[in-house]
Amino acid sequence: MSDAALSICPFCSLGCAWRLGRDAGSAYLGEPGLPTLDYAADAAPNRGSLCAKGNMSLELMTHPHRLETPLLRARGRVRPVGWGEALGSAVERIERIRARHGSRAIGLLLGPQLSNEEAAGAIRLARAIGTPHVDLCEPEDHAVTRGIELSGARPARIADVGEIAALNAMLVVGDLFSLAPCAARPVLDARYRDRRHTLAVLGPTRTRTAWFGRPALRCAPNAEVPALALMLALALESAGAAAPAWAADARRALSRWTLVELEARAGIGGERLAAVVQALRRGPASAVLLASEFGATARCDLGAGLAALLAEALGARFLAVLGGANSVGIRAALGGARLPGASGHTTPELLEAAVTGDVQALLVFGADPVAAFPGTIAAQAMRSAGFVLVTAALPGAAVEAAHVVLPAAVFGEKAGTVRGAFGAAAVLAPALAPPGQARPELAILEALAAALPERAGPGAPGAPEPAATAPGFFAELDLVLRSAGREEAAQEPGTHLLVAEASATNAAEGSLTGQLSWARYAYPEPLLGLSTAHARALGVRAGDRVRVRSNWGQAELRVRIDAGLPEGVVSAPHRDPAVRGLLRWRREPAVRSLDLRPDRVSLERLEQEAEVNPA
Amino acid sequence: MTRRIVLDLDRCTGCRACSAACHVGHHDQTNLVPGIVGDVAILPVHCRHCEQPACAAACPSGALYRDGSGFVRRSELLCIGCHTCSIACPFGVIPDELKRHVAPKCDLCVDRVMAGGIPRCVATCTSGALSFVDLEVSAGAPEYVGGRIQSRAIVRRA
Repeated sequence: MSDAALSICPFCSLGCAWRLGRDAGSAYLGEPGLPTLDYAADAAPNRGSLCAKGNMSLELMTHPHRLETPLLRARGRVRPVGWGEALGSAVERIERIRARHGSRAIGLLLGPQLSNEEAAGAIRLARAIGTPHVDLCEPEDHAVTRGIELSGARPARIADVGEIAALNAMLVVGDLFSLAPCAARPVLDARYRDRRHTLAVLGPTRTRTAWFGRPALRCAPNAEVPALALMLALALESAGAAAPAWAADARRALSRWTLVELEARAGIGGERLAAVVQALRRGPASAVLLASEFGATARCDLGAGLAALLAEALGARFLAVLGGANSVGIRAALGGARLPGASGHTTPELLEAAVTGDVQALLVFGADPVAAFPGTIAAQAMRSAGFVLVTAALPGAAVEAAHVVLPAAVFGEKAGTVRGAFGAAAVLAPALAPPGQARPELAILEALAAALPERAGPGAPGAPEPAATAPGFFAELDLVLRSAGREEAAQEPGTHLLVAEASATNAAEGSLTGQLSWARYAYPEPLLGLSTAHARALGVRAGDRVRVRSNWGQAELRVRIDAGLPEGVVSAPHRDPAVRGLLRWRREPAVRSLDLRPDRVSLERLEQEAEVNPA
Repeated sequence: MTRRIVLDLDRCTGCRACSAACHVGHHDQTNLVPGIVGDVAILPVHCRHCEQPACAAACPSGALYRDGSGFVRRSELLCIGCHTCSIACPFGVIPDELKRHVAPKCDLCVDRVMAGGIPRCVATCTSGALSFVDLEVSAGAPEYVGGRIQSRAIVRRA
C-alpha cells in the first residue's frame, strides 16, 4: 500500500513491524493523505500480526493529549515555557543539587522505549554529572535480566522467530500469549505441525497460553521457582560429563532437597515434570521460552535464572521475552558502561534513596515509575525528591509529579536502533515528525550533557556489579525453597491470595496504553478475577462490585469470572492505580531487584447498584 | 468470488487484537466485538454476511442492504440508530451500542478488500486463527462450518 519504511511496535520486546500507510480516502471518515496503520505481511517477526496494543502504535503519535511544549512547575503552578528556559532551569537545579549534595545525589531512570543511542546518551549524561546511578525503570524486565545474569547460565539463544516454528518441544514459563500475543503464531505453528509436539506451559493459573498447553503444568500458586528447581534437579541427574561449569554448584544446592520435598513445594507431580524434561532433552529442536511478566510469581528473577539454567542443562535453546521494547538493549548498554564512582543504585534502590533523601534529583527519561512500580514507593520517591525531570510523550502520574517536563518523541518519530528479544538490532525509522516542539530523547540528553560541565574523572573504571556469581544465586534459591510453603501454612482462614495479571490482558493499565482509545473502550476499569466457585460462594456475578482489603490498603473492584483460577486465588492487574496499593513489593537485597509478591486479601460483597431496566 | 472470514477454534488465543484493529481501522467504531463464551474463552464473532440477512429485512430505514459483491453493508447516512438490526441478527454480531449515532456493522474492510487486500482483523490476527477464504473453493471442504473451522485436535478449554 505504501513504500514507507517499517516502523516497530513499541509495546514489547518481540519488535513487531508495521508500516505507515496513507489513507486513500475510501474509509468512512478518512481523509486522503492522513497517516494510517498498515500491516506488513512481508516482514519478520510478525508477518503482519499486531496485538491489540500494537494496533494502537499510530495512535501514540497522533494522540490528542500529546505533550507538545516543555512545562515548568514553579510554586505549585505549571506553565508552558520554551526549550531554552526549561533546559536552563533543569541545568540550574541539577547544578545546585550537585553542589550541595554531591554528584551521587542524582539518579537517572531510563524507560524501556529508549533507543540504544539514547541509552548511550544517558550514560554520557551520567558521566557528565558524575553519578553512577543509571538504571532501567521496568520492574519485571529488570528482575528477569538480573536473574539470568546472576545465574551464570549461557544457553544457546533463539535468534529468529522462524526457529520457534521449527521446534519439536518447548517449555513456556509464564503467560507468553498475554505478554507478547504475536508469539502465538510461531508457537502454535510448531504445536500443530507434529502430533507428538510437546508444548508444556508452566504456571499456577489457566492463562491463555496454558489453554494450549500439552501438557499444561499447573503448579501451586506462587510455586514456579520450586517447580523449575525440580526440573533442573531432574535435568542434572542424568547430565553427561559435558555438564556446564555451574552444574556442581547447582547439584550441591539442590542436593539438600529430596525430589519429594521439591515436588511438595511445587504442588505438581514430579513424573509430569520428568516427562517434559525428557521431551526437552531431544536437543537443539527444543527450547525454553520465558515470558518476563510471570505475574503470579514471587521471585521471578530466580525463576528466570532457573529457566535459563534448565535450557543450558538440557542443551535446549532459550528465549526470554521481555515487556519493554528495548529493555534488552538498555540492560546491555548499562552492563558495559563505564560509570564514575562505585557501584550505582538499581532502580528500586534509587527510589528508596529518594524517599530517604540520599538521592535528591531524579531524571526520568521516557518512563513513568509511578505507573511501572507496584506499591506506592515510586509516588513517594517522586514527591520526596528535590528535583524531578521527566521526558514524556503523554501526560501521566510522573508528569504530574515533575518539576520540569520535556515533550519527547515516540517510536516512529525518532531514529536509532533497538534490540529485541531475539538479540538483533532493529532500525527505528522516523516516519512522522514529532508534534509541536517535542524532541527525541537523544537531543534532550545531549543538550543536558553539553550544558553541564563534566565532573567525572577521566575514564573512571567501570562500576562492577557486586560480586554476582553462581553460588550467590543458588544460596538465594536455597532461602526461597526453605520459605516456600511457610506462607501457605500461615494463611488466615477467609483470605485469598491476590496474584498479579500479565499486562496485555488488561491493556488499559499501562502508563501509555491506558490513554489509548480502544483500551479505554475495551477495559474501562480494572477487574478482579474470581473463580466460578468462589464467585458463587461470595454471591456475586460478573460485573458486581466487591471491596478488596489487604494489609496495605483497600479498593473497590468489579468482578470478572475466570474459571482458570485455582481455589483460594484471585487476580487483578497490578499496574492499575487502584490495585497497586493492595500489593506488597520488596527489594531483594541479593539481586538488588524488585520482587512483587502475591499477597493475601479478604473480600467483601458490596451492595449492588439497582439494575436499570432499559425498557 | 465470495470470500468470508473463518475462525480456527484451535488457534484463537482470545487476545482481542482483531477487535482493536477493527476499532482503529474504522475511526474508533468497533464493528467486531468479541464474544465471551461463558467463562472459558473469548472469541471473535464475525458478521456472516448472510445470503438472506435478517438485519436488512428488519431495518426500517433501508440502511442495511446486500450489495453486488455479496457484502451486507450499512449506509451511514440512512442509519437512524434504532437498534432493530442488533435485535434481529441471529448471531448477535451487531453491538447495540451506537457510535456516531449509527449501528456498528462489519463492512469486511471494503476499502482494503476492493484494493486486493484482506480485512484488518485477519491481517492483524496474532495466532493465525483468522483467515479470509474463498467460499467457492472451500464449499466441499468439510472443515468450514458456520464461519468456523471445526476443531481438528481436541483442545480442552474448560
